[in-house]
Amino acid sequence: MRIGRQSAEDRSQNERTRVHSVFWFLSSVLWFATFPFRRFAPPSPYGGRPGYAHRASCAAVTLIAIVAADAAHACVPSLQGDTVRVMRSAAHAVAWRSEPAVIPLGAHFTVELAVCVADGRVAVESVVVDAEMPEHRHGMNYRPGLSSLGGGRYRAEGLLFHMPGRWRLIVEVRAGGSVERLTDDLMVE
Amino acid sequence: MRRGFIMAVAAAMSCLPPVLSVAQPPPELSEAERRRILSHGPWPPPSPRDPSNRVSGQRAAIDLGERLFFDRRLSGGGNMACDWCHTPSLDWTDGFARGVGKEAVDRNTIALWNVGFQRWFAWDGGHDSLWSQSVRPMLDPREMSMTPARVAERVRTDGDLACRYERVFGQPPAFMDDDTVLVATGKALAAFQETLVSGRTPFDEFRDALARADNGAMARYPEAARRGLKIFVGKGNCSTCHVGPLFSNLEFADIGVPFFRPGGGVDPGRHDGIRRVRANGHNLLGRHNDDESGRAEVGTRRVELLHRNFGEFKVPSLRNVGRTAPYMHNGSLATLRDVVRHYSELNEDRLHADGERILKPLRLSPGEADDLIAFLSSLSDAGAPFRRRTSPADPACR
Repeated sequence: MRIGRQSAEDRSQNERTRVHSVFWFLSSVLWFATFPFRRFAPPSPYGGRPGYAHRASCAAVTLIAIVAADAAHACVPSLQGDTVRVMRSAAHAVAWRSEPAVIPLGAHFTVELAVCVADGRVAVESVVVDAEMPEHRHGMNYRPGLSSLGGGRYRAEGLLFHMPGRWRLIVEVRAGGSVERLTDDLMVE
Repeated sequence: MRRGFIMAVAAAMSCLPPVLSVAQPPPELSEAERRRILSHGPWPPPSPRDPSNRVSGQRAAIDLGERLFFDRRLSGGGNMACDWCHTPSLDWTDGFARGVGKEAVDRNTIALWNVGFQRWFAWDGGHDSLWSQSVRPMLDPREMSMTPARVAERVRTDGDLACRYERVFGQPPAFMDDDTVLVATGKALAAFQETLVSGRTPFDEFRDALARADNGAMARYPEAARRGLKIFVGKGNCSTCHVGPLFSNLEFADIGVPFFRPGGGVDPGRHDGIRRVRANGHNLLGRHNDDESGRAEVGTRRVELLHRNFGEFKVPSLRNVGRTAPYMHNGSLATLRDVVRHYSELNEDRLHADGERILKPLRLSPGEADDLIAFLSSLSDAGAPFRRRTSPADPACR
């Protein structure tokens, strides 16, 4: 029984791809949105096809905005390694790994979590760990017990995936009276 | 002329085998199907050991458990032992739809094959260890109808049994309280039952041949069973619950079998089982659990009582399923064909609204039903009949 794990390199590549896609999409939107202004703008003093310089400047502005926004949200959970996966939201990042590293079908396993909070966000009040099979519309037969290890680290015990298929690990982070739900999908065979 | 006729016949015969093989080609397996099939083995796995039972796997405990299993003095009337319902020659069940002890009970008697690999015991999982489950029928007034005090008295007053208890558990039963003697009896019975591991089957031979890509050995597996296996791991979705080498996920499911009791009322199944296991003084959260690591009790500590548990029953192992009729928690389906028909014509109205969403009527053709039955039948071993290792005529303990 294996779960479909990505290597840290793959995850990093996926993250880069996602950021690049967002960047080009937004810069293209800006380019089209500013078309009427460019249509009647004076030619570029640097030569080249009209609009390229403008497009480049739009892209640069967008990139700076994304990087700035990402920097505001970024936090690094205190759990790292090849078997660690990370869930992110605007306010939190949750790194987790299972013990054993390959989640066994039909046997109890534990999960170690590290939760971090983005700058300017409210401190975490509590964390709940659960899992469900979205296609089957049911969860686990067991309610995991969570113990705090300090420093934003937690240990959940008693999880058990009793069927093969797609499972969704759910971490609910309560902070400042609101609950944020972070999820990570896994294939269990 | 005659030579020409013979040549024509010979040519026709030489064409015959390919023609037949074109008519019923062996189904090809996708990579996903191959992985799923391989996950049903290898068999047998290492012998089960129960960390909550300190005498699990010990030869002396197994022998003591075997003696107790067939000891009729452990029933109230002195006429019934465990083998009354779990008869070796009937694959450790009784062949009845519902078990019959001192009185008839509500559920089918589960065959004891591979019972040591289970996580929860009985159709509702009302026990979290085999030793705890082994105590229950002794005390049930409808089954063996004993009390802890009477079980302890029988053991203490039989010199040979008392000696064997001391040898296995380290102290004579005279120094144990009644409850401890009762639990010790359960642990010895469990040690014996853990040895009831079924043998290799035609499916296991096919599975292992697939693993080593031995086409010659794979070809010995009947084609009908192979087509049925493809349904089992494919469109049938059977292997979603009947997973792994044991063909069970060791959990519970509502599959639309009516759960009305014969005398009226309903059988709540797993919903009641969880409440019973929590209330049971012999559960793994109690003082009789020998596992000091704390791992054995995790399931009992973390199991959750859910509305959907109502009407759920154990997902049984399918090993030796062809020989352990009748089927379902109430024995309501007499044959494997009835079971396949149940899934083929599944009544979705009987399923919980918040239950499993993958259960759909399979709508199998008659040929597909035959193939699935052929596959299920290939899960039975051809093991030799059980032979007792102990006898009342064995030398006395001292």
